[in-house]
Amino acid sequence: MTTDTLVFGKNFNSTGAEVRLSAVPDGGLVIGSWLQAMIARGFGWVVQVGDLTTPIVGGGALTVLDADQPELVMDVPAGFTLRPIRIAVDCETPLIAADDDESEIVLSVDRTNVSDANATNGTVETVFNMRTDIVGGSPISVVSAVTTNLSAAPTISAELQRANVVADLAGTPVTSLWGSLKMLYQPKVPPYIVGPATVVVHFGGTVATSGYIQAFFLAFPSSKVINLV
Amino acid sequence: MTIASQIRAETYGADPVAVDIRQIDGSMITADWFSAMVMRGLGWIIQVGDLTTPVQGGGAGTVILAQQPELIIDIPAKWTLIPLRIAVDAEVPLLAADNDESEILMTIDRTQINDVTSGTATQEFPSNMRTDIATGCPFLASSAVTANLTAAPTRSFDLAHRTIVGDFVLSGTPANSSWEELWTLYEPDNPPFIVGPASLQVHWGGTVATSAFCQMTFLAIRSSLVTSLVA
Repeated sequence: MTTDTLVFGKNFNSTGAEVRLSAVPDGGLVIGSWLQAMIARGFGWVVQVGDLTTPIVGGGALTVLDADQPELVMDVPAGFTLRPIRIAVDCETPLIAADDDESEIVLSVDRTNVSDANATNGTVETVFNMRTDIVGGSPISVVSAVTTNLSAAPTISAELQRANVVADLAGTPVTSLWGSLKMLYQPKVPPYIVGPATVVVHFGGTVATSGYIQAFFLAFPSSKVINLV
Repeated sequence: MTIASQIRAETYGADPVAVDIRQIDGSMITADWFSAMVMRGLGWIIQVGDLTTPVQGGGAGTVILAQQPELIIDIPAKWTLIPLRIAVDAEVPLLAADNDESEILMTIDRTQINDVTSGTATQEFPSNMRTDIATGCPFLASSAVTANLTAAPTRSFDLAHRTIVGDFVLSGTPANSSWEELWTLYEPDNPPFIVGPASLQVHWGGTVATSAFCQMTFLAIRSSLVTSLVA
């Protein structure tokens, strides 16, 4: 004998009410993304680097990348986990000075430490919730445009993505051309970056390279994942 | 003992009907939540630019100005916008000088609507993504704003930003210069919930006059669907 079972799910609201699940007319069960549900519940955050039409200049001495002076540093404290869902970097490369000049972007993770970045190192950024009625409360602190060495330099455990361009003079610097430098990290399956840890974005090059960043991520208590086996 | 059970779920009709959930080769058939919302009539599409005539960007027709966006959508209180896809395709002119730049910016004011009808602008009317639905978008939208909005947008956060920088080549004159195409596509796997009152703006412009077309699709839902949820 086959029985008919009408499927229910519990809501994420404060009462946890049971709600009948829905189907499209041809019999497809409607499914919601777990990540999207986390964002709807207020676990999604976004931060940007750069002003309306003014990017920040990258690199350590405003040219080549320096591990101690990232363009974006996100500290993940103990007890919290960060999942990067979309990090976009768009750079402006200047006129080439010489053959083989290069500009690059690196997105990486230090899985062991927070950097303790603060206003003495760079610009403390405001982190906004991806559900825009929620104000403040990000457990992840973010600093951009670091021009004074971090007290705890990031140790790169893993790179998540990288992009670079290498220049080739067509004649002289004023008659040269190179390609654009941009990077979009939007993984199908993002990693779980369990604090204490740091996510850093660097950009720079042998010529001064400026850029903008938009970083979207989830932040939630690590207890949701570290007990899993 | 094994109990055989046919899973059923209710349709979204005015009088919900329980339908059998189907399978194919042992896999349950599922439908994406966002696609279901589009099917129900909650998806909208808006465009900027005519058949072959783009909109010139920037404040005075050149550099981006916050108060004069190329597309602005006001999201009133009690409504939420979920951006599904924003595409901008720009036409960049001949370079005037080395290091000329053109750019595209998509940004959010999470604090207020910006009275989209207050500037000198073209009012736009979103079409439903289910094309049997003719009207009824809860959002007002304008394009080609050329006089300042009375409520200047406060830029809370950006969705996307794309810039190109020009560089003379060969003989070093504008007629012998080159730069890349300028376009950007924001199509996030996991979009934010822009809860009204708020606004979304798309800008383009540069140190040289930059024109563009824009197509945007989005969901418009009641805020109560999300604001009652708890962490």
